[in-house]
Amino acid sequence: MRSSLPRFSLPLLAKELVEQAARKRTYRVRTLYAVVLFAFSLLIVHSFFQYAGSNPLNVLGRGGDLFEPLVFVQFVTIYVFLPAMMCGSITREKERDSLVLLMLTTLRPWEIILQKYLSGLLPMAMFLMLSLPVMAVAYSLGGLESDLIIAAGVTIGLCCMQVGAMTLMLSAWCRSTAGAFIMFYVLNVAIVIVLLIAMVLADVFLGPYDMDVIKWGWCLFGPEVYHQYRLIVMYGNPLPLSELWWILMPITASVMIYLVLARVFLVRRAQVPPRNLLMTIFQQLDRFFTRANRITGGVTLWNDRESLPEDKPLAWRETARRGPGKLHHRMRVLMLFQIPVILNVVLTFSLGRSGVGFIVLLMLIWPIVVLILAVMGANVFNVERSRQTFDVLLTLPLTSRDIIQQKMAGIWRVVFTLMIPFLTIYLCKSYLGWGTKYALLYLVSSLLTLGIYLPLTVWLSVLVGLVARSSMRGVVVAVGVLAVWTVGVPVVLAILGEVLRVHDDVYLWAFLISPATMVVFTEFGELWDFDSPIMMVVVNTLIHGSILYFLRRRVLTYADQLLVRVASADEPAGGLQKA
Amino acid sequence: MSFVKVDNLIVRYGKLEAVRGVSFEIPRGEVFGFIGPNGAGKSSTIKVLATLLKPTASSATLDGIDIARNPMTIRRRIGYMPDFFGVYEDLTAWEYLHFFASAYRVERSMRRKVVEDVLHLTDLQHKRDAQVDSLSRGMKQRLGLARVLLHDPDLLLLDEPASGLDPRARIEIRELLKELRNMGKTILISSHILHELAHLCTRIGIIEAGTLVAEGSLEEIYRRLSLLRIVHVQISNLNHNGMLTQIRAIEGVAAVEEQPDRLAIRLHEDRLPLEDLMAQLHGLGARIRMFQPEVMDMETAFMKLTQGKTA
Repeated sequence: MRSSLPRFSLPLLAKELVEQAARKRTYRVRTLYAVVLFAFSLLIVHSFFQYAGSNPLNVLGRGGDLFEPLVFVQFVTIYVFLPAMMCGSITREKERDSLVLLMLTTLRPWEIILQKYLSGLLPMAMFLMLSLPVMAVAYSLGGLESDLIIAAGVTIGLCCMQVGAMTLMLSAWCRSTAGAFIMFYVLNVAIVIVLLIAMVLADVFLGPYDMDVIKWGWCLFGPEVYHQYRLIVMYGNPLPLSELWWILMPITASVMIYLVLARVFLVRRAQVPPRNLLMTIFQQLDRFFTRANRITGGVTLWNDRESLPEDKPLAWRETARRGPGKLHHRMRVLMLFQIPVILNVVLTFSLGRSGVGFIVLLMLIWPIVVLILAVMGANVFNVERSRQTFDVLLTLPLTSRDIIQQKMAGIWRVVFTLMIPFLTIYLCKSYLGWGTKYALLYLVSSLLTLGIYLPLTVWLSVLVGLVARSSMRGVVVAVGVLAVWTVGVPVVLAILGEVLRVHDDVYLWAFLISPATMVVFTEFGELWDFDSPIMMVVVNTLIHGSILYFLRRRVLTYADQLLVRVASADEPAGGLQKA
Repeated sequence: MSFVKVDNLIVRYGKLEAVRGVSFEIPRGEVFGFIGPNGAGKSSTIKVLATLLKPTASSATLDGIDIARNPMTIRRRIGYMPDFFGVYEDLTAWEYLHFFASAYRVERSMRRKVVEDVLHLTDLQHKRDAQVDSLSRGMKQRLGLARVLLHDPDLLLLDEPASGLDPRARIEIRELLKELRNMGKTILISSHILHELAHLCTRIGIIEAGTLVAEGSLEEIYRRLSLLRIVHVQISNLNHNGMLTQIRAIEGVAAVEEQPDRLAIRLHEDRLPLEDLMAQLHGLGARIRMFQPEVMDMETAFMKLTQGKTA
């Protein structure tokens, strides 16, 4: 007998899951994550026994100490892995020109969105479920309330749904996968900045006691929801459900809003033409400054000269014709960074303010500059690949080393331009502290970090981009490596320090592995607490200078292999050819 | 001596053997057409010659120079146009050509003239200040051809130069290629549009599943396959004196098909050249109004030689 019910099928979800199951990368990443998670958990449990003394029963009741770091790891996993996994959900279809075909099928936009959404969430659930055995161990140790486990389960689930929905929305909005990935973090940072500004304004206009609404805004973020939920579990008996609903509402509502927006963007932006994200930003900056220039009566301080290439055509194109490397665009970017710096200089020197503003500016400028350079570096060759100009480039009678060096000319110009705001801040801060014991060391340390870190970012990103061979993969991996190196390593070291209870100064030297350490130590004055700050600067310079040297050498020595080009051992390019 | 010599070329991508022992030679000044279905190994072979791929095994030489061992020397002597290629959207046609002239180290004092010459040859003078991205597909192909001519290469490697073009643009490219052939350039051109090559090439190679199944001049291949040439003839006094029967009896004529306004005569050209057929028809007293030999049927040759296999 035939069923009268319509046949239920999820073809898109099935296709996505089959594709993911066929990729070796799925299993490699999952295994790596499991190894890291279990090693981390084992270390914590080991530390329990280490400090339990002769009586192993002392370990009992410490389940919460294992559970809390695990919840933290789960949140980090969601914010790191889920955007990377889902940012291509819709953009990949756009890049392959298959989205239009998909929309011509009987699948309705909502079905496409929901199946894509599930296809991202299910693999993420697999990741999160890897921690269940460790959670069971934590529960068996005791000292862990079942309500807290529910709180963690609910907030991790909601966080997962929210991050997935936001990434899907951005994937529907953006044209490229790399763009969607970057936009995820940019949007989250923007939300944080808006909330910070709102807090400041509320503090000024409403007073410190009327800020509940703003605090409620922070519940847009999973970890904060968990924090609030945890407080309710620990101090609310019985659980006040109205309060619980109050803290869960923002994140739940945001899931709905993001999904609705994803549905809207899916249709409206199904056929947006490909655009270079950085280029678009530069063009918008250009438009802004052109409008602003009308106020000054259209003063032109510089002009991009009409020119033709001479001996280095690739370098010419990168610096005179291609977006970010052009003088015109570099000046726009410089002004974007330099205007707040100059304003701060004026405020600091005329109003006698402290130099805290410089530190805030540096903490904002560093990640943005690193992100710009990482995207540029990872894309320098992948743009040629995606525009199908790469093969022609490789048949030019130029050595691979020469091709790489010429192609990087534009990035170096941007690097030099972006150094100006840093130099302004460093010189001002040194001037403010001049005469004190550490002013000169601060200046030297800052200049060394600047001189090493920016080229280091560029060479690392270029290497990653060359190996990745795709724009999206290159940007994601380069940004990921830099994030893990600068932020992940110190966080892991800090957790290890806590777990192993190592708090001496010698252990702090290990933090120099991360490039961010010296910046933080220098700016927040922690460097001077060490017995030998000069040695610390020297060691940091040696570590990162060596890495820079290694990366540069690696790229240039293996240029042929990295460009996948037949090695040119016959002769270097040179001399003029017959016309 | 052959200008280009490929001997037992093998290209593997992992486990897939894309080219399996291809050998051919191209004398200087010849236009060699490389025919094959998609995935037959045409582009891989061309990429080896363009120094983009290192062959798994072979000896490929250009003017006696080993291509794999001397890629830089070869790059200066070839002009390569891939099947799909992008252009730099931020440059004008003039800047684009100057860019490549500089990359090929054309003497600075000569660049302006060289660029103007190639623009003239490809009939793009009026587009010299247009952004290359704004050009039509056909114009971009012509600009691509202008680019490969900048350094006056000895060998042009053109991978499907007319793919994706509209009929007018395709004819324009064909005329341009004929012009290059007349200039004495050695050209290796790949295509799967058969009649396009029939008009242009002096020699062809048919490749399938990574193996060269036939190579030689068109006539040689037709002869080898015993293909028949079709001649369309209009005779005003066809009904006179059993003319049709007499034509069918001519030595070398395989068949005569009566069509409403003409006869389609199929003949073994090796036994009966076209000129002889005409003479014999005159001899029979035929009053010939039209005598039109069909271009050799390459599609038939292709279908006979290939089986639709892929590597």
